[in-house]
Amino acid sequence: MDQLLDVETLKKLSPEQQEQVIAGVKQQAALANAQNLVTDISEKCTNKCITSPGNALSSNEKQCLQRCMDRFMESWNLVSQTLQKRLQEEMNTAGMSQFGGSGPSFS
Amino acid sequence: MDSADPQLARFLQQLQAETQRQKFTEQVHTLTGRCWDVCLSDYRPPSKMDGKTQTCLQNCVNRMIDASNFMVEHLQKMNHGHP
Repeated sequence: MDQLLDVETLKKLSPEQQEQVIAGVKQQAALANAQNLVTDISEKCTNKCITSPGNALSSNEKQCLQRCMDRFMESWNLVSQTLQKRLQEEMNTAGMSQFGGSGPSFS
Repeated sequence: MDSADPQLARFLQQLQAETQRQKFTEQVHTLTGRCWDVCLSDYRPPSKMDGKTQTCLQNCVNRMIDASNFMVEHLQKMNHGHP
């Protein structure tokens, strides 16, 4: 991975290899994001819904888990929209001066 | 960046865009976790996302960024005061 990200090495790649690198990066990102989401949802929702475990998962617990997952995904999307809007506003108002190099994520 | 090779420039740009996208997604991940704890701290998750919770989540994201900017500014001032 370190070798791949070295610019001199990147320069030597053929167009096909470049495409492969981009596809690989996208795939790794998608995998990492899916794992993050699953880890987060299970932590948050089991905390909320499995508070006094019985012999089997009760219908109450199942309903709680289902709602929790739905609400979590909705929250995720809302946070994403809100963050995107905020970052765009900051880029527009601050322009190059303040957030050009040291902004939260877009540089 | 090497502007002599447009193919390479495009490739590096694509890589950078992917990196930024990933940084953004990770920030969403962090903020969702924190704001979930702040805004949906009730014992059971609601059957529908209500307006109050939505506003809370939106405010939470914006205030977290405000707080982060505020602290960075403060640290920079401290740094200037004691070089």
